[in-house]
Amino acid sequence: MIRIKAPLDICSHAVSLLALALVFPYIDLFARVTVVACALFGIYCDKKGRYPVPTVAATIFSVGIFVMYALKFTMANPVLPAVHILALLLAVRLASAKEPRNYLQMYALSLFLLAGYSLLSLSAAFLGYLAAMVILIAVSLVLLTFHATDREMWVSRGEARTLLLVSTVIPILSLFLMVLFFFVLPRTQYPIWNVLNKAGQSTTGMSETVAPGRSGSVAEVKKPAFRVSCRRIPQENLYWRGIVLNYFDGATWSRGEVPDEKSPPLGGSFVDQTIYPEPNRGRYLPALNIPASIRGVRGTMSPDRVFSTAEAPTRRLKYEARSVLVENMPVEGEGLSDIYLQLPENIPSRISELARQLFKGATTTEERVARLRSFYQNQRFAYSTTRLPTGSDALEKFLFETKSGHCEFFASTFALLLRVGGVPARLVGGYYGGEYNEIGAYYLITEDMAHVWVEVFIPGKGWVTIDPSGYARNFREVGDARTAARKGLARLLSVLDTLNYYWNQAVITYDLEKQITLFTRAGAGLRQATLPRNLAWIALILLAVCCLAICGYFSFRYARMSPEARIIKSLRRKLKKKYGDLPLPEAKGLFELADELNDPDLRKFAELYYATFFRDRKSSPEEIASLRRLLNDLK
Amino acid sequence: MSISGIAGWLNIRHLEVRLDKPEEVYAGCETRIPVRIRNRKRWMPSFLIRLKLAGGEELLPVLARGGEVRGALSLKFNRRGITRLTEAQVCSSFPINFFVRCRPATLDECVVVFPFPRPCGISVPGAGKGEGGAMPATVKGFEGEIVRISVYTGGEPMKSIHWRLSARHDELKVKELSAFMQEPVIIDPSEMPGKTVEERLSCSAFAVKKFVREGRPVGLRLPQQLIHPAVSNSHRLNLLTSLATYDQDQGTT
Repeated sequence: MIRIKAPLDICSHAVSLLALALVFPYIDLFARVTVVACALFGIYCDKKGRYPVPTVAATIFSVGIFVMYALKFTMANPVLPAVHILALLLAVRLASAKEPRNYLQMYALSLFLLAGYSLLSLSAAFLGYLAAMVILIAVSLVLLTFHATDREMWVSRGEARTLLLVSTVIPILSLFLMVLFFFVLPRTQYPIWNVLNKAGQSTTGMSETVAPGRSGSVAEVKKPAFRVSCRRIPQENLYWRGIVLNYFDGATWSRGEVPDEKSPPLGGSFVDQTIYPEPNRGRYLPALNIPASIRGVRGTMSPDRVFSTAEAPTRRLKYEARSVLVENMPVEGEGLSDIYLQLPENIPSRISELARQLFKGATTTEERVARLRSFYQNQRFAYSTTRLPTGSDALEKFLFETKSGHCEFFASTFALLLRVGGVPARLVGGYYGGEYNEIGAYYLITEDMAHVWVEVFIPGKGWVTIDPSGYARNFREVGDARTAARKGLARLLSVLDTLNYYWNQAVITYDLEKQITLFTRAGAGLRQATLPRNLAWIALILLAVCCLAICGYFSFRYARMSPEARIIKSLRRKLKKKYGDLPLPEAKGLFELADELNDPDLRKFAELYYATFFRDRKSSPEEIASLRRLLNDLK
Repeated sequence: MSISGIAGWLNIRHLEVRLDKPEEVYAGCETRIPVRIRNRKRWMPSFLIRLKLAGGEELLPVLARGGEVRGALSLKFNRRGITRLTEAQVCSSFPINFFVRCRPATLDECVVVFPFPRPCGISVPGAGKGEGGAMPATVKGFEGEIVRISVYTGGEPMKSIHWRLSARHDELKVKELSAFMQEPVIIDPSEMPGKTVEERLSCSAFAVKKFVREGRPVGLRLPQQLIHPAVSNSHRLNLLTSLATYDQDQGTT
């Protein structure tokens, strides 16, 4: 025998612990210690059935927690204090005595915590947590119904198994309905929930400045930056343009005032992309180099073809970009702002000297660029993210001593040398590479693919894209590593990322607009529904198979019944028709029933029935037929 | 909500309720009446079924699909007579304790409620202690005086062996006792003490139970019928049934 309280406690603990585990990484040390202590204590108390903490003490502690974290509540950061309060209230609830209504409080707090977690993390894993939470809470609620009816209820093991099975089926069915409701229930045009998520956690991702020499090594974070749904593109074209940096102060490249310049529409091979950036990535919208237009998000395009929104988007969004795979961006008009020739006040003498030597005698811009290219190729620089030159003379060290560095060193020195040589140049920040996911047909671009290259202004051509890092002797390996298909565990992670991709595509970015499109399409599809010839046949065959299966099942059941059982079944059907809702208990004999109903026909039938079946030989088909006839006459 | 609603709706459907008639039910006395609930659903068990009938309630935690569970209802009928039970309520708070859903279950049961046997001073001939009383019967019995001593034949009960006498003889001797035969009594409810018919019937019921317990043949004189005295249990139930249905139209007076 099992006491109902035991599985109820197990399920309730699972619900609470799941909710607490989800928010655990986001809460402070005090909350963590309290949550762990209360949870362990609560489980122990439930096991022993003794609750030493008085209710008053628990209430006072809860009020204290509420006040403590409510003081930290600001409009800019409302989520974390709320999550702390919820987590600690749940922990206190776990540690104190539990009436049925307290169990309900625990479930409500757990659900709120899950909602809070969805504001802190928007991964597809949420769906799994939600499903687990729904199943656990539904089972707990059913068990709680038993517990509330009788606190000391015991059931057998078999009964407990049946109960758990039925109570699990309920939430599983409701999960199916949830999917339906997700698409059908009306939505607001703007996500209301998002108001709470205004607090930008951290703006990792593509940097808005480039400062080579700031640190000795770069940690490569394999965190998704954005995903791009588009056709497969050759590796050498996988440059995702984000930001243009035009001002150099000697240590840092940044984005200064953008001079007005007109570029004519780009011509060439178009690539349409749908881009799903991760939230809190800053306000610049990356797209394949060179972007021609961006749709689906409210933003602006600056004259240097940098697309940005007014504020960094905090929710998941998607936008469509159209890019042209060309190397140069023509500029209308002759005059180009001097800003692209801007130089810091103190240029290291070795760099000035190098520029002077390199460009000596070169009359055209193209020639200067060509000389610089061959210089980089001849120097046999190495691409590396460790043992980087640091300090104020990092660029000199890179060029003349270590000859090893990452893209920032290559691009900075290349642009600087060009500017010293009187050639307008600017840095472009973005990403290089991308793992193509065959299942989802999209590129995954991770933060470690962040990259910087150079655009050089060549009269007649406009801005020409040059990636100086490409002159490093080992750069091909870097490119290969960034685009190679994953293997083993990494491949599994890639499959998981596909789930994330579909989650963002189907759920997170599902809004009113998509919902209307869905309904419009469904309506149009129904109006113009023309089934393909084959489909109609398949449907017909399936229907026939289903009909045959159903007929087969009923025939099998009918064949298993004895002739007398079949006749009795027909008789009961007839009597039900004749006497309506009158109770006809199966335990009653036919004679008894005939007397009760005062039905002479039934009595006659009963006599023949008993004479036919209740004797020492098998009834003949004639006898059964005559019984059937009598049954048919029964009116 | 919709799934739990459907589950709750299905939970109380296709349940068949049957009562096992108790032998004796007295007006105003709480009686445990055995009840059987059968779940006629083929696929789904029923949970937390609360059966409500005539003020009584019984909780059945789990009813397996196609299975039957026995319980008992504590019922109290305030009036004597034949009480027809046509409907019970099958209720459940399953699956989630937010609301209780009920459904009527058809019954077709009759319960005969006997008058409450209220002790009273009985003044029927031969009922008093000094008046008449027992008279020895001619047949053998187990509680009367020793009639004679005979030889043990192997069929007599051990307690009838006369051990002291057997010790003096070579064979076992047994005591043969006479059976008491009480003088028969015929009860006329209209002559029983009491202000109202109900009081007189209660007194009659008490008398019937008392005389039968004492082994005294008891009969009943009703306005249209005379039931001859006898002492069996079925006779007692027959008398009590007659008292239960006595002049039912005037029963409330």
